[in-house]
Amino acid sequence: MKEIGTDQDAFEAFYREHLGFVRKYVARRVDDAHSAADLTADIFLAAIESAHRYDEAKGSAGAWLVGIARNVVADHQRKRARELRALGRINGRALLDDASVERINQRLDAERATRQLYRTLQTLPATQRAVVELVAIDGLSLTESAAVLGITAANARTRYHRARTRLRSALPTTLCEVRS
Amino acid sequence: MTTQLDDFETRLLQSLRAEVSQRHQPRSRRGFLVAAGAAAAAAAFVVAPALMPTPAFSVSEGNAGEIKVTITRPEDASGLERALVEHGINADVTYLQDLQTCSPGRYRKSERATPGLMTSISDRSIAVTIPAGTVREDETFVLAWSVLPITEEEIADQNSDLAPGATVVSGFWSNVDFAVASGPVNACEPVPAPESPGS
Repeated sequence: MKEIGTDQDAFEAFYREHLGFVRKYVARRVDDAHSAADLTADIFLAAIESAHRYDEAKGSAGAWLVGIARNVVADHQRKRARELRALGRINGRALLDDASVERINQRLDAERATRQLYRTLQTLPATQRAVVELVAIDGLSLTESAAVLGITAANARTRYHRARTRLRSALPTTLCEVRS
Repeated sequence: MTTQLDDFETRLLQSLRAEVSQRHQPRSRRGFLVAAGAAAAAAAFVVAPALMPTPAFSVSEGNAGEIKVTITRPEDASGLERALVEHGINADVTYLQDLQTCSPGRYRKSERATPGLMTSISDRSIAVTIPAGTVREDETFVLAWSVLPITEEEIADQNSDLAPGATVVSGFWSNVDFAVASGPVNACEPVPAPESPGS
């Protein structure tokens, strides 16, 4: 995994394997194609930047990428994305064409309901929101979410159920019994 | 799992592959000359003289009308400005020493978005891509580039992180500032770059 920061072919394999996840992750959080393109570029740039710090003992490459995506989106929401791109060298939206914008918009339309749920979660305390977001928005198990957040599975389960108590009407009933 | 890529995702992959190829370690604002194993010391002496005949810069136009600038040495700034004017771009190019930049406020940055305007830093040059229509007649492309050779201690520090078989033999810190200015551009007053060592 560490070689994705130095080996082009290793990076391409990583990109192709995880692009599907990043597409959905982004489409569930922003509602315009240009921001989605920027975030997609920024998430993979951050992965290249951080590859040397990847520690297999702390979790899978997928869980590691979820953590990176969380940080990039949080930066974006704190209006720091523009500063990051000024330091970075790839401007995602500059690579778009009409057909690509149309395809991203289709994905955004498909995730409209999920984005509504994502916005609802903003009312939760941050620690609870982080767990619920990974479980209810991204479909991770409680164990996977705990690995991303660096907490125990029991802790993740406690946070999730506390959040459900606060947001019982907003969370999908199918998540009453979440995977652990 | 292998994902089918659309045109955007293919272009992004190409850009990201180029990013990977340009970096041998995680810090982004410098370039390194890396040589393999025992040939490292010799490579440092062989490569440097070979760079001398290379033109200090080149300016070319791409198929979509974008202007591509490659600068291999911080020399002849006025020559680069003239070359850009020949391609219809007013330019203000400044080369500085010791990782300096120009003090802020010497021009007013254009408020228009400039998609596709980008720069890259490699171990031997910087490259700038200026898409067609980015710099209008009443505007100026402003570029300031400064380099600072890395120290022996920094070389040793980088080598401690490198994979076996590769050795950093020289390198430089590089600071590039670029923007599209609207209206006049005043003279550059050198100041330390914000991320320079010791600033």
